[in-house]
Amino acid sequence: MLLRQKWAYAAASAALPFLSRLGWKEYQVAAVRCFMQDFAEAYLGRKPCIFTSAFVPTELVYGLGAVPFLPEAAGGLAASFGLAEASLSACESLWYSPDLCSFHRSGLGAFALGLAPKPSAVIVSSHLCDGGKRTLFDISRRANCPFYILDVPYVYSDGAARWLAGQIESVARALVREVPGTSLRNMTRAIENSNDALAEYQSVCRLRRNVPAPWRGSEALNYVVLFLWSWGSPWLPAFYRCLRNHLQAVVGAKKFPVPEERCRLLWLNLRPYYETRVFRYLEDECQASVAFEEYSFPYWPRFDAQDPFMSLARKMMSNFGWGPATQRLAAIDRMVDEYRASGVIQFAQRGCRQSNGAAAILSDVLRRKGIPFLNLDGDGVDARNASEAQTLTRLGAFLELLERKKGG
Amino acid sequence: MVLTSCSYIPLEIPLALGIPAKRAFFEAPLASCEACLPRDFCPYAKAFIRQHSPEDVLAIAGSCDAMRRVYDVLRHFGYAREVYFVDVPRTSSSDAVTFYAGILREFARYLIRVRDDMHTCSSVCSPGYATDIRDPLFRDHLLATARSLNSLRMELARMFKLLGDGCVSGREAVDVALRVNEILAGETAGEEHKGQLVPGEEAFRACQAIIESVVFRAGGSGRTSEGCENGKALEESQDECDEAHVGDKQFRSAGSATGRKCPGTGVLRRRARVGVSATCLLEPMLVESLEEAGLSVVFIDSCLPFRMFNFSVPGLGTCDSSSNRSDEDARGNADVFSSLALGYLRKPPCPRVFAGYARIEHLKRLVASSGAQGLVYFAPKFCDLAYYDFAELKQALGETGNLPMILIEGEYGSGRAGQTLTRAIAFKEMLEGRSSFGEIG
Ligand code: SF4
Ligand code: SF4
Repeated sequence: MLLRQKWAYAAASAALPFLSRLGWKEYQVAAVRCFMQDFAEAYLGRKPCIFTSAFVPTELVYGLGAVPFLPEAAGGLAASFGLAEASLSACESLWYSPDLCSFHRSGLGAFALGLAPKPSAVIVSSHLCDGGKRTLFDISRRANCPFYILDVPYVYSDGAARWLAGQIESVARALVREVPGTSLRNMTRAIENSNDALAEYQSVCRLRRNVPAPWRGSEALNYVVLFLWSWGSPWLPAFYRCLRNHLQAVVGAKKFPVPEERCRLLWLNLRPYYETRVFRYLEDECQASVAFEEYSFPYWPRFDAQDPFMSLARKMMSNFGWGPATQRLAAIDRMVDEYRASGVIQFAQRGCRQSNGAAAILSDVLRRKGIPFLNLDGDGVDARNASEAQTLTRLGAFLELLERKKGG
Repeated sequence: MVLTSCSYIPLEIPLALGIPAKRAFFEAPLASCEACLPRDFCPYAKAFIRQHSPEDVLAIAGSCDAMRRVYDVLRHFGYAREVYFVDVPRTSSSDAVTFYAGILREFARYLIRVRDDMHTCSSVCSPGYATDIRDPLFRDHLLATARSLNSLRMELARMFKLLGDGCVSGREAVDVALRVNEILAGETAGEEHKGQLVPGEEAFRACQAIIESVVFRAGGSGRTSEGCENGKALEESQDECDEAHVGDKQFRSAGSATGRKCPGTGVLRRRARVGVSATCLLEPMLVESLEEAGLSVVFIDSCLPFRMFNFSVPGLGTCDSSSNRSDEDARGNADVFSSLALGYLRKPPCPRVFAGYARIEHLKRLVASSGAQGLVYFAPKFCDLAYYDFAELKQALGETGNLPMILIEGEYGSGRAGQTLTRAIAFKEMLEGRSSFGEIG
């Protein structure tokens, strides 16, 4: 497989400069370089590779001197490279129901097909949803590697945070014992990388409040995979600096991706990661821009490098998707205001009970705020579960509603 | 009335506060709740979405994604006046036990507040109950209640064992568990059981009598009368046994329902023996269909009924605590909340708890000890935990362990569906075919 060939990375690195000539933007090239570096270390076994579920703080993995790999996020990547169907049927042949979320199934299926690197260990957390834990447990059995769970209390209290911090520390120390090549030497560095990246990223978020939006939401939704995967990495601060510079230039030159914005949308949950007309229809045909997306919201406080494990515990427990739905509603309310969204779309990923289950409440709360809401059924990985025609029809009707509302 | 959503929430706590409490089970038909929850949510979660009585307290555990949203929907749309979230950990380390003991203390404090608010506006329970968890009276009640439930669980464990021996039908076992659940809530044991000074003492005796009658009829070693305070309770239950009131619907226990003589030790034994596993069995009908199809159900690994009762809270003893620790010793040092947290978190794992291989090993032991020749896995439709659990068990027991398994998905009422019966018959014939070729034990 290409990803396991040393020469492939050498060739890719050599080709990177040509991307700029092909019109790729600097931050896009930086992102490819960063992922290539991590993938090389994971697939070529240069560093221990630790699989995690989506909301385990990757600072922990980088802090151990390892590289993370997120099968759920990789499930989305598989879809964008046309590998979803093979990985989904591989998972179903292992008796997993097609009613389960396809991000989890595709991640497990891709592993079963040998498309993923070899894990040295697996760390899952009990949040944000039930799926990640089970598929990653299956992966740890197949790979015969250590498996750890972080049991995240549902409601914040100092006692609960201490319990979680204690769990994180004992998992870190157990990994140092069990996985050769890991140590705690890098933890402070990873925490500082994360703080540096957070500062740059907060500037990116401030720039994205600009009207019109300086960055295509459809592209931003692609970078959610990086937002889940790379905190604590040495290259993330530089990447967000590149992105910040790019957005500053766009705002300065007034070269907006959707110049005549007829409405601004806040997008909840994820998106279809296979080839789809949805965003060309929204952004190009209807001039509706996705101003911001829920899963890019920086919800955690800066870390204290002197108390890394408590900082990581606080990050996990401040995730607004974990805890009573009132927390998520408050975060969405803030995003609607900060990004001046005139409508909210929730991509109701099939099988995502934790997110879809709040649709009725979201609709009720946003209606009272005067913000139209669309719960858009779909599947981010399994194109067989999506009807593009029906999706475009519903989007069209929703945009008309926003137009009528704008007209007063 | 406290209605709990999960077998990991101890009934001991509300009962010790004099508040009727039970695990919430429902029956078809259910009202649609698609205005509040998506269509693809499990039937058990959706069943909670209804207008609850103002005196009901809903104790919702974070058992799964679905239940976390049920908690939100019940609160947001005002379906219940009191909805409380019980943060049940997914693991059972000593730190998790300490954390959960703290959660249970908070739960007790909350229930006292709610009970005293409600008591001011209606007679929820008699005044003889503690108003603070540090009150020695509460500690005594909690200890007494925990020991009574330990005794009850021991009795039920004996009955469940007879299920494994093929002497008690699966339907009977589920019926008894449902009735015990209702009696603890003081629903069917008559008004006088509500709010006793020593929590539900009569209710516990009524439960023991019902279990005794099933065990006695199945030819199990009936406890002498000292096991039930007075022989009268055993006779009284004999009549009750034929007609069981569950909730507001009356249905006849399996023994008399199908008109057949209570099964002697041989009748069920010669049938193909299957275990049933599930997250939540929803209702008894599936078990009835399996038995009607000619299968002998030898265990039911579901929170209805086994996982509600097949454990004991360590360190607290039972009703006749002289058999293990002196009262003073048990009263003196055991922190009852820690014992409850330990007992519940370390009971045989259900698919929600993260116990790695423990669940697979638990099922292997159940299969080995019961002699089950096959496993029927019931998944409430759209229950993710069941789908993941089935895949793991199918790989570990089915493929590696060569145990024939079938997956039956369902909603409320589908246990009686023709398709379920047809699949059960087909599975029975396959098991019988394989055992005649000596392929399975
Ligand atoms: S299956 Fe487990 S988590 Fe679900 S209700 Fe039953 S005991 Fe609770
Ligand atoms: S049956 Fe499954 S989905 Fe439903 S409440 Fe229980 S664990 Fe959750």
